[in-house]
Amino acid sequence: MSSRRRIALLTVLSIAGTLGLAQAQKYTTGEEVMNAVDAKPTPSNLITTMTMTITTASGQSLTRQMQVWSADDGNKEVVKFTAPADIKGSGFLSTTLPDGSKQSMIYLPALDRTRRIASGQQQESFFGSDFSYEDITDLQSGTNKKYDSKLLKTDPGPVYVVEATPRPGADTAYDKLVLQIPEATLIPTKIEFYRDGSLLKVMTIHKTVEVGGYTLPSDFEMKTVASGSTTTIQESDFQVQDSIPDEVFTERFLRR
Amino acid sequence: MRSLAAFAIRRSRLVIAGFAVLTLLLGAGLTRMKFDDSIESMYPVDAPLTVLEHQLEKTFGAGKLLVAVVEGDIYTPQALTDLSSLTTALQRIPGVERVTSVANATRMADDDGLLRIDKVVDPQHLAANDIAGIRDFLATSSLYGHGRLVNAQGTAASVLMQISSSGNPHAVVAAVREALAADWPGAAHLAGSPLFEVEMRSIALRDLPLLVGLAALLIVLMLYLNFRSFRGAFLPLLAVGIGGVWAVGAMGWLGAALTVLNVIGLVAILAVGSSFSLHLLGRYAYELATGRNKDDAIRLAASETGLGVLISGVAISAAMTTLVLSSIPTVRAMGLLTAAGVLAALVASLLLLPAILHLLPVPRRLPEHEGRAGSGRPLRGLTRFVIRRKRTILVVAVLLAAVGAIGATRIVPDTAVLNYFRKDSALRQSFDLVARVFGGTSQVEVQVKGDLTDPALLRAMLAFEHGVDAIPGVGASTSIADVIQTIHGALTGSAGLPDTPQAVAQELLVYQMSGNVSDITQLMTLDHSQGLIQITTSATSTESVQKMLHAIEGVAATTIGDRAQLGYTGPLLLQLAIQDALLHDFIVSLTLAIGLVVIIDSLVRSLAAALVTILALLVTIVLQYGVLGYLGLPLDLATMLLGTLAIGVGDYAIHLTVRYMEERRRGRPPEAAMEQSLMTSGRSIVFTALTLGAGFAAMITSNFVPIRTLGMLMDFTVVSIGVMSLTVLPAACLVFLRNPRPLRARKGEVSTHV
Repeated sequence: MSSRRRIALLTVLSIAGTLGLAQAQKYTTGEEVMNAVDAKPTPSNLITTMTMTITTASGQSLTRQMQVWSADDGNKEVVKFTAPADIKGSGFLSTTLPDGSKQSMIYLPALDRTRRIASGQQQESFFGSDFSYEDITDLQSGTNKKYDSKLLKTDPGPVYVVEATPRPGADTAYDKLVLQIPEATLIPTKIEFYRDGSLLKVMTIHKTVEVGGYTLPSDFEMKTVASGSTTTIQESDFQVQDSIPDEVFTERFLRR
Repeated sequence: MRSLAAFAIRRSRLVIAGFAVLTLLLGAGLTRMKFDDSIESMYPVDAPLTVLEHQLEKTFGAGKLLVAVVEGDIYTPQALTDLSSLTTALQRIPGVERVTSVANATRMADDDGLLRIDKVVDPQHLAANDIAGIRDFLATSSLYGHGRLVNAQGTAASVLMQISSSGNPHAVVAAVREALAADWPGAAHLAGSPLFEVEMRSIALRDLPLLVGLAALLIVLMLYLNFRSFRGAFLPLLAVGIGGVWAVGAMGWLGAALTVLNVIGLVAILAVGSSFSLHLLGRYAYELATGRNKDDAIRLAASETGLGVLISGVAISAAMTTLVLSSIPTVRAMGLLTAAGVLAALVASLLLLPAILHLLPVPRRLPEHEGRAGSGRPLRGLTRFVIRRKRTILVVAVLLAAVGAIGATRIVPDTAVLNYFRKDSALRQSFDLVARVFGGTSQVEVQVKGDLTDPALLRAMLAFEHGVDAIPGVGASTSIADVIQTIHGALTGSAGLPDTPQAVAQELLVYQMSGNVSDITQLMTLDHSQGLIQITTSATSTESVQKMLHAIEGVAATTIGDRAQLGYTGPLLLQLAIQDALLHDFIVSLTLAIGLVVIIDSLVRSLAAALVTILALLVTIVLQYGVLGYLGLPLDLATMLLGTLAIGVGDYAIHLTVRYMEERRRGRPPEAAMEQSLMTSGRSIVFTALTLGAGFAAMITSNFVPIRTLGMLMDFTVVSIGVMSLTVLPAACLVFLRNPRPLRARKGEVSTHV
């Protein structure tokens, strides 16, 4: 084949490929993509086992295991630590009140004491990890309410690359997110978190599982760029529930 | 030497072309030259203290501490708001890993049964009672008390920044200064080890061209005074210029970096290299004056005087090479640069100089040569005095050495890096202010290996902190025990610590729920097996640091005992490692240098002659260190180098011994031989001392204290060696070397020598 013909064929194939990609692309704007992500059904009530490993830049690591009960789309939550032994039995209860405020309580078995704690620090670390409470909440409830979205590009797959910027008055620690969302799952595989114009953290979702008709992320990692620390969370033993009894979200259950 | 001289004359153009090509090739390496301004280059790399410091830095992410102190009425809404803006601005600077100030400090508090973990300062709530609450909290907090963040008077606040060790301290410090100017309306001061590097670079950028230029100028002046011609002044400069370009260029090609201490090396190359040419040109002029033709004069100068130059050049290089054994990178680099530069200048003097002289016409005017009127009269008087009072001179020399030795015992080592900078420098003044307001800018780091959830160990750590608080010069201490005590107080309302390891772990879990995990990992590893106690101190001198460390260890023994394994380090203590390394280097380098100079000197002359010469040098060195002791000058990075430099640089005294032995071999009795030697070589010795002194005098203008001190002491040394060479050495030769036996006879003795 002459080189001129080869170039012509490659050009045709390339144009055809681009057209094919454009035809396969279901969403044309960032808002459409994020609406589709939010519209994806998620279980309202869920019980899981979470294994969280924090690794510092110097290589120190700490693994904690906990059981998590989550109801009413995350408005009620109980976390009970099962490992390591020195914190086994410690628990955390969080409920959202009708006025939108949160009420939190901790239980420390070694002190045999429960304490109400002030909440509202959504942007602070989730049990000393690289995740913040906001990151965890947004994973469950989505980001669409807080952010305006713009489609930056569409990679082969197709994978949508969406830039999300906070809406005025939104309670968030970030001034920009860049999400990579495969059309096939509509679950972000990578999220970059920016603050003050600099890349602060990068979250990667490595694995999803099919549970009760839902596709849920089960294996994810957050890396803090400046400190070099990383936290991985692996979720297992998913139990999608129609409902979780109210008595789970009480001080008595916390102490049990 | 004769073949070398013949080659330089026969192939003069080839030799000049070869030097030009080599200088261009090696000179290209100058463009690849890097500058190492890191403070680590001043520390012994393998010392246990250094190793532990790096280990703790890696484990706890300690980085380098930069402290900003801002002055003003801190307990006002405006000042606290400004501090918040400043803290945010500093946190955004790349390379700043962690910022701690009153603006981002957190507190755990019981609020009517509700446990609150929030910021000490909320810019939205800064009414009078809020500010009073902040003041009360800072006065009583076990974490932030002791005036850690705001001084007791409320007139100054500190902002502590952990700077990434891998970051660029220059960019960070510049950005921090910019932020302070933009976000703080009052006076602001900076202290901390990153500033050392910034200051060292600034000094080096000023000193390298200035000192080397000034040394060159002064040396040229001395050479002109000696030769009374531009040729005599600039030909030596060409030889040492080539030496410098070769040595620095080779460093560039090899990827080595210049350090501020290399200024000493460059000045030494200039001074010592010039003295090689001085001897050769002096002999050349003398031979011309006695009627020899140009090429014969060159040949005699290069072969006869050249031999002495070769030996002293190799001896200096060998002496400086001994510094390669140092564990301090900057000392090693300085030793290598000087050795290489001196060798290169030696090669240029022995090969290039004869080639150039061959191509140049005979000078119309010849300088006053030795033995003629002018310097002749005082030298004759000196000769008579030495011959008449040789034993008295030796007794005085022994007495001087004894007095010097007594003075040397008074030397106190001081290797505090802060003292490398002038007392009136902005850096020192800033450090002094920060030390006055906040009790110090330096930290002692105590590594605690044990079960950090063990309440008994935590209680012992608190007792230790309390104990060290009473040691003079010691300020606030922080450890994980303080954090746990704070959490426990807020959670239970009672002072003290939890009773069980489980309770400790669970209370830390609570803190991590809303606190920053780095608050804990900067003081304790996540597996609770290793902790860090940070002790602020205002001690600076090595002696006071030594005493303080001893006192801290004493408190640790009675409070922590064997509950944990302890290790001590920190930038402040690293000066103890420097001290140990310097003492080791001092002994090893000086001993080796003396040994090498004796061996090299004796290879072609005689062992006895070498020993007599080195004896005169040793008297000078003992006297030198005695002066150090009497003047209260410490043994530091520069004064440690003094002995080795003096042995190398001072080997020009051997020229007198050589001349004396030649006269003895020609059958003159000892006294007459010495008279002839002093009359002919005295002028060269005087001008060598003046040339060397002029070169080292340039170092007195340095802003880097060790270089300035070394400059002053080297001037004292070269003058002393000059005096010793003209008094003690002749007296020693007349007493101990009356019948020298050379190891091998020299071929072709000539009737006249310089």
